[in-house]
Amino acid sequence: MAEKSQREMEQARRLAASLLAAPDDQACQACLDRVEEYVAAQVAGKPYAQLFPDVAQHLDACVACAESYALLYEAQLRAAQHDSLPLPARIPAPDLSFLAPRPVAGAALSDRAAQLRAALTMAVEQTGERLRLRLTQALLAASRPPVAPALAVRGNQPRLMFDLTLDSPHPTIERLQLSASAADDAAERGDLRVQVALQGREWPDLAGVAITLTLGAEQRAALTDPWGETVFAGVPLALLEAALVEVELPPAM
Amino acid sequence: MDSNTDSASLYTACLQDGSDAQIDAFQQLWSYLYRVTYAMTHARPNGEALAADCTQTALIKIHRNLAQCRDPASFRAWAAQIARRAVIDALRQPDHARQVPFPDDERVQAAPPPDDSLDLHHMLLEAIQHGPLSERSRRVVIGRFFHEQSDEKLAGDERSLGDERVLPSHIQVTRAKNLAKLRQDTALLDRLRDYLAP
Repeated sequence: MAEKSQREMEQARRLAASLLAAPDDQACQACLDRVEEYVAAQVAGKPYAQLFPDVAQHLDACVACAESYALLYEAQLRAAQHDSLPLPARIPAPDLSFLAPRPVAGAALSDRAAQLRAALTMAVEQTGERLRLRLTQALLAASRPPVAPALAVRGNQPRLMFDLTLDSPHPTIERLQLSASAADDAAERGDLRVQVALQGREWPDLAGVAITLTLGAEQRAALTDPWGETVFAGVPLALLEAALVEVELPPAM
Repeated sequence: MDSNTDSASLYTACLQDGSDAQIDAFQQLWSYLYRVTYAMTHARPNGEALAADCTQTALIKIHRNLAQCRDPASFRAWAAQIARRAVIDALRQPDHARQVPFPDDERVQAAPPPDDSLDLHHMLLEAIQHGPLSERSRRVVIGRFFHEQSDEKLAGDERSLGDERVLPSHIQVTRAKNLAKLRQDTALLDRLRDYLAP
């Protein structure tokens, strides 16, 4: 009897905890990052709720995530049961303009590469627990694409102002990418995208790296998403040539 | 490149910047991923346009992050996961309210105030029995939390009651929505906090 009472109280506490849960954006992202594995386990007949208790609890606490899970589950179930998937009558053509243009052969390429290497050497330093990258006119000039491919996004085609990749700038960072895009050449503001790839980690475990952008007197801070990416929107393009980007270094693995 | 190109070869071709092989590879990837996203969006208004948007978003993310695919032999599966996530992220935006209804429950009257004399277990049972939940919702919440039944079992039970459409995913969403309804009872939540306070 006492055992039954204790069990009932445990059940009640679990329900009470679900009712009192106040999920936030971070909890939703953590759930969505694991929900594919959760669904795969469920479709395979494994004890999915026991294997992923945090996901199960969050799905009870968050209607939006429960609906996302349901969408994924039904798609995976149809695929697993080899049901006839709804097929489109036609498949539209993609916009592949985001693919890189053919490499330019000869001296022009090697000159640009040399300029870029020299500018990067001057621009990167480690200060305490941060990696600092100071953008300069020379660096941006060396990073401008020879023929700027349009980024294919919904609606308008932004113009790529520069695209910069640093390989292994620090033992804990595999790659650091910065790019800036604007609506057109006359735009005064644009978006600065920063993406960090960490050694030994991959999507969706790249979230939470602190990035700070200093533009003149203005400072902005953001955390990376599960892709290791953050976008600073509406950046005054004229200030980019003296901007400072700081990446909080993760602890070595 | 034919449509049966294995994942590893497809991945290798995607890496070849500026080549015709890369263009072919991304064309092939697009065709594959469009089917994946279409399967998730076809029932929605403008489902085809949404599928195209999400596939395009996924294609760009894949191109930018090719180095993060650690197992080229599973490249298609990795890419499909990214495409499915693009659909989920798009549908969570405010302008994409869910259009396809679940077999769901109707509204009933509001719950009476919680009885302070009951223990936690009985108080919650009372809240569920007399709260703004339909009969199915009560079965789903009680079934999971007090009888520890899986959503597969609960869906099977609902199907045996005559509704052939019920899936475990419907059970999960029904339960989440009805817990959300119970959360609107602030008096109940206050009592729960008192019970769970250290």
